[in-house]
Amino acid sequence: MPSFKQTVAGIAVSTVIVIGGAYMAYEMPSISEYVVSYDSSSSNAATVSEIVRETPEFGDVATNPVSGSDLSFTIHGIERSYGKVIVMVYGDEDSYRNYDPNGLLAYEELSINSGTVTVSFENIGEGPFAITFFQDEDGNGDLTLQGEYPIEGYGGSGMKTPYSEPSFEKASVGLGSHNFKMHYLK
Amino acid sequence: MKLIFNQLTDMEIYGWEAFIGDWLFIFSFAFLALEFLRYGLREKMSWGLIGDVFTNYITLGAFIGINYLIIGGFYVGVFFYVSEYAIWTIETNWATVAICIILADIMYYWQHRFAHRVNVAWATHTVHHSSPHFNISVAYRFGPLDGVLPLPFYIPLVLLGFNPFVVFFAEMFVQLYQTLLHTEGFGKFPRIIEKVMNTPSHHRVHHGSNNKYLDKNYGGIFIIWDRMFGTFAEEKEEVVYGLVTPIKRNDPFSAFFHGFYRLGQKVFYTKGLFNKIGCLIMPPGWEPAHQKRQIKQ
Repeated sequence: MPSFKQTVAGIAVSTVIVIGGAYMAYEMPSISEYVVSYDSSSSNAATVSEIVRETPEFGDVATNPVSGSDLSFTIHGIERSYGKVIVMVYGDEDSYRNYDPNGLLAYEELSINSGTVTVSFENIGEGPFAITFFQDEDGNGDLTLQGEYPIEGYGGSGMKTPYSEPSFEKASVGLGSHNFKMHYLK
Repeated sequence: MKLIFNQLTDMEIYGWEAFIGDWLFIFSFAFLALEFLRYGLREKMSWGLIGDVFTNYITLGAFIGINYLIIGGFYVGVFFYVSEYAIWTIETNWATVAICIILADIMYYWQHRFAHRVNVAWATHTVHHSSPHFNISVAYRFGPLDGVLPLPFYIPLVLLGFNPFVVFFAEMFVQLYQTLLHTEGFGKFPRIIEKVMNTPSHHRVHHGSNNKYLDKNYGGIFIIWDRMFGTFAEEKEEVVYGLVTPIKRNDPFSAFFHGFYRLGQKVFYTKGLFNKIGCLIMPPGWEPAHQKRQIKQ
């Protein structure tokens, strides 16, 4: 058997590897920028084709494929059931940065039936897209703040933590299906 | 790249876990048939062996029953509770899953070493080692509390920010890789593989009761941890499978409970509170100093 010293050294080395490895994984974000071309002349007329209110199951990809020309995403972690989830899709940096409602590619209000909502948009162009959403719990049509902090659920593409404010580049996603999380501070 | 870094949902990960685990279980039966053929050809087939295989699957049934009724919910509950306090949020894609598997493999090494070197943990893990045979059905031979033993060792991964579903998957993956090592059907693989990966040869050593082979080769997927931490032994002499003190009986009841029975006996017959505690937390062969035990084995 290894000596006590060897054992302690072994545990120390293992701890370093585990923390280092986890940090590496933490720095490894899911890819979201694989669509590079953006056709600005593409139609702005996005249509909401489908609102599915269920958790995606294993095998959905095979049995219910999202076609390559759709933008589809699921918002997970909805903890409160009141209000609607308001989803906004931006296609350019300026409107995204200024939350300019005139620059929206798509806007949709989704009712909440369970902890997740899924939406998919057809004919929305090729992207890249930046997505923001919030849970309009009090029904005032806007994200309600208390001081500087939202008291309603909110989130968006590229948001790793409730405090991140990603740039358009960081937030941009391509066509296909994505998963986002609803964040709550209160 | 898109495939590797594409975000995965919890249900996808859970689905893969169930898919791989279930199919491997079915595959193990086909593989067992081949092993029986091999035993037959070498004229090693015996009623003892067949009884042992039945015992293995009955312990599996008991293990699953205990997990389902008692441990499972607790285990999952603890994971999700702890995940609320994670220091980072690690996204779920195949790249991070791969990292998690490697880290889970280190944790597996320590968990496994703990199971062999701390008597109370050995009381459950000894069941897995009590078969005098070595085939894939032995991989499914579990002790009563084998399901709860890994919990403290994998919590750190959840605390560091891996999604609990990913950690479950990684745990399962290491366990399933291990399952495939329980065979005498393969000799040694090419040197480079034997250097890095855990192989049937290395794992035969782990199951040996030969003096040289005791407390060696704890690794799950990689053998490098054993090489690094000084617990490696190469397969040289022929392996004698089973326990140093064999259980001699083949019935599932004795197999499943002999560990706790022996531990209980040892604790009961040892004098003094500190010595009794020593019996629980010291390695299996430990005896209190300056004291003769009256237990007959």
